[in-house]
Amino acid sequence: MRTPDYHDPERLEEAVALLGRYGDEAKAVAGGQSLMVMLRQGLVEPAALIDLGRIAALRGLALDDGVARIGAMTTIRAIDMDPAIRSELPTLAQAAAAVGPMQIRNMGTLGGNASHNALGADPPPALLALDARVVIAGPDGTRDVAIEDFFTGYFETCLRPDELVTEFRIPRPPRASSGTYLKFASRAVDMAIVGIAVLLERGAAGLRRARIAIGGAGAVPFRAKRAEEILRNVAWSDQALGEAGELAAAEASPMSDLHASAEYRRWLVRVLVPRALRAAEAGPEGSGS
Amino acid sequence: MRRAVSFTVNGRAVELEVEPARPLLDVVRDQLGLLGARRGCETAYCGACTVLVDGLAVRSCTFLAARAAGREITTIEGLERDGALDPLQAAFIEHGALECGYCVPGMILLARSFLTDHPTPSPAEIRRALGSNLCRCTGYLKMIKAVEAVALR
Repeated sequence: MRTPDYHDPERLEEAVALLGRYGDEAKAVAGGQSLMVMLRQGLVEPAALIDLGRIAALRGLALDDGVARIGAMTTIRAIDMDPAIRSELPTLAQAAAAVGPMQIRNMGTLGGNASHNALGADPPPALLALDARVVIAGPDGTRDVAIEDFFTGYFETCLRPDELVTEFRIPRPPRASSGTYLKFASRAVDMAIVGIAVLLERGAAGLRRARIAIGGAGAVPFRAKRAEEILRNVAWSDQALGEAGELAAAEASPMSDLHASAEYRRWLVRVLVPRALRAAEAGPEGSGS
Repeated sequence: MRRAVSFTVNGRAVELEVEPARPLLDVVRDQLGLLGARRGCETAYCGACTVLVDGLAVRSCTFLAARAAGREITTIEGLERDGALDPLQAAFIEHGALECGYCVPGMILLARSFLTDHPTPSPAEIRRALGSNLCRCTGYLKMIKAVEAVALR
């Protein structure tokens, strides 16, 4: 195993310049909770590590003027424990709380988690259900993309080798909405086999609309658009929820791996979508895991 | 490309030349000789290498050595104060919460960090917290009882 060079710049521009200088030979370190494992296993052998830990511009968490701004280096623990996130964005708070071991919540970051885009990661479905935008810094300045365009493939994102996520912007959910994140895993330390994030808006008829985002059941976490469509302005009924589960399962394109077969993951989507919708309807404190 | 880092370990100030991109676990065990931090899976799964950084539990196998700079590192060897065991250590002994013992330092440091964040936890929260680390012998029950005894004191 070669020992990579190590840089820990204090300014974002330096980090971007360093990434550019190494081409695709450098890895940025956020919390390091996945990268350090991949280094140990020899899955990556970068020429350099660019440690983002000293860059103040990547930290911070603020909810104001209807938008939550969460710096990329905000830890999962900070999101889990933030009273404002818990009350305003329970879907995200529950996804943060669902991240496996406590030590990983203590060190892992929202930016690192999303940029790694691991199969079964908990925060990505929550970011999708909440219509987050991702602010990205590169050599030519910043750009921002919708979260749906950020996740592009199995462990892949739209980030170029010399780009970094700097911030997530999450619009405050409408009034009369409630959300939840429901995780299915076999052990507390595991990634989700399937994780479902939902956000409901109540209307006169019962349900005005629902956003349903699913992780673990395809190469990328995705919004179950057909399931969402049939839940527009419907009365709340077991039948409607069941149909949404069927449609979401049909939209999923799961893969088999050592944790679960594709068939089982699809079955879980069918069962868990109605369950997550019920938990969200029951209120923001609905069961997270 | 070693670099000098200064930090505190178990209350003692140290300055060491470390390989910055290597895990803190190597520094703690191989350079400081603190073997209470166990070398377990080394892939962030088992939690046996848990140490406290500024009071928070981290897995030293995935914590960059360079990031120790300016921090306060606590290993199981540094948990006792003035010759008195930490209440969690005493409770683990009292409840016989160990068999082979390999996971115990990590479990106790995990529980210490958890109780700092959650001073009045529910039994369910205690169970979930201890699920962060693997124990292959005890079945966890005596460990849960030991942490409950401290938390509910």
